[in-house]
Amino acid sequence: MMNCTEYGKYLKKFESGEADRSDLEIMRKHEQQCPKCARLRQLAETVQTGLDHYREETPPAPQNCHEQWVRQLKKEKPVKPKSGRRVLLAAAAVLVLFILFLGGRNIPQQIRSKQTAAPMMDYASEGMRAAPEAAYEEYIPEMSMGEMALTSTAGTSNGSVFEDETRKIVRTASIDISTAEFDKSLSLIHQMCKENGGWVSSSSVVSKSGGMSASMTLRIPSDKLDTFLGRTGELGRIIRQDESAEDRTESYRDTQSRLKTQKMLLERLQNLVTTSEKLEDLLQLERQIAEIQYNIDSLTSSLKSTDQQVNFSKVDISLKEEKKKEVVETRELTFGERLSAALELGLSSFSESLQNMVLILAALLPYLIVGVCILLCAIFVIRRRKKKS
Amino acid sequence: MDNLHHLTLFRAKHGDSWAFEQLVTPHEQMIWRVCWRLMGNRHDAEDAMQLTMIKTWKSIGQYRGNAAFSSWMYRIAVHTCTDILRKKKNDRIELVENFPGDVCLSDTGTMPESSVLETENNERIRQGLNKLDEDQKVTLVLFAVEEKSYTEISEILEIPVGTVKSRIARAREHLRGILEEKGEAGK
Repeated sequence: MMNCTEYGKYLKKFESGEADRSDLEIMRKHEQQCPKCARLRQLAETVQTGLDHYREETPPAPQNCHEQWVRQLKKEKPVKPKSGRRVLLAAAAVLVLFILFLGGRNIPQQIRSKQTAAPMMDYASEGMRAAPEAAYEEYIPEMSMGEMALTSTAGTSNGSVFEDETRKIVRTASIDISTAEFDKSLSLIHQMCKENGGWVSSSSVVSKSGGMSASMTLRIPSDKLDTFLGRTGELGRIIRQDESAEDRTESYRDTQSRLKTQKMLLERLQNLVTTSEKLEDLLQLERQIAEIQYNIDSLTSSLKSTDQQVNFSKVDISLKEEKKKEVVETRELTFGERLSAALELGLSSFSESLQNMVLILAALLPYLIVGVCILLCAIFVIRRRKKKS
Repeated sequence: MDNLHHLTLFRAKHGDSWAFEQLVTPHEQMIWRVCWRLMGNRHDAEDAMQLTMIKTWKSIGQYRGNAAFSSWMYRIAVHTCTDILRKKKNDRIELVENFPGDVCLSDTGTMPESSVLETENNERIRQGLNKLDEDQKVTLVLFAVEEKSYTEISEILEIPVGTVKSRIARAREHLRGILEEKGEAGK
């Protein structure tokens, strides 16, 4: 026998229209025993009848209703989509940039990547001459020494005469050149040296079974060094080119101050000589004066030498005659070779970039975690406000 | 037709009120019906309808086309009505108007007894609906009058299906209680 609680479940089914014939039969049997439940069903049916009537009695919209809302509409302006997503995305982008900025400042220098890809690609794309492995690597210095010197002195018009006149920077260069026209290149070196106001410090030409070779040391005015180096490509195929810049300002100043002291000492000793009466003292003073004079000469010579080195950069050139076979190797690369080189370089730079990205991500991980937390909180708050509104 | 609809929608989104009118007018009766059924009287239904139209106009830029335009408007109408009912919660004075086809309790003198009884009960149900908690009322009207499924109501009101079912059950129980209290005729 079903109790009233169970009947309640059947009543709910009945009300929602889910009760089938067997359910109705069960309910009817219980109702015969329980007038209270029978009354409940009667009420439920009355409610349903009332709701059905409510549905049917819906009147048509008033005639002026349309005009009313259309009139109202003209007073209002549509709100352009706020595009919460865009706002969130913008916020996220700002946050990421902020994190990157913070993180970027703190990334240890050693994990930062060397931007070697671009010059390498340039090399490949420009279709440079086929060069030996060593020359290939040398082609991509991160920054030439000349550039370093220029950068360190905040701009310059020549190698040693810097805007800051006190800087004493000695620049040197060393170039290995291979040429098919040895004599022409040799004379061109002399011509270039002369044109730039320099001179040949030393030169030696050797004839071997492998061909002619020359070793030269040039002195080029520092302000013309870059011009000279810029034209070395005309001499032949550059196998190696090194540049260095040495800052001798500190030692130059030391020498200057030592020279000044020595001169002062010399002056004092010379004064003593005029006042001294004993022969022994005079001899001793003469010895000391000679010593100091020697020091002064030496220091002055050192300063002059430094000035000379600063004003005239030393350029070592090694010129080698190429055999015909070697000349053949200097042909332009074919498209396939350049393509293969470009692919190889691209792959290596890609893998390097990927590694750098992973390193940067690892370094930024703590910031990203905090950033994501802030972002999630912001989204949560915005959604909550939206719901409330 | 679709292209025309999209074009009209595009223009409405960009502030063309005429295009908006073209877009919304076909759904006007549907909006009126739901407003009237949820509000229960003409005055409030008119207010709710106007508010619905204005809300739709203002937020048309946010319509992404994920659901049918009519469903989107319907949802706005339901939420507008719920908001109005919630605001009226504290100072609720229901003024039930008579519309053509309605029978006022005082005008039942010439009707047969069974009809009079039914009319009285219907009127009590309508009044009972207005006494319900607004959430219960909206849910019951959507289910029993608008004939929406549990899932549809769940989506419109953004509540779980279980909550929909329990609200409907409680609303029916409440109405049964009102009828019992007033001594439903026909015992």
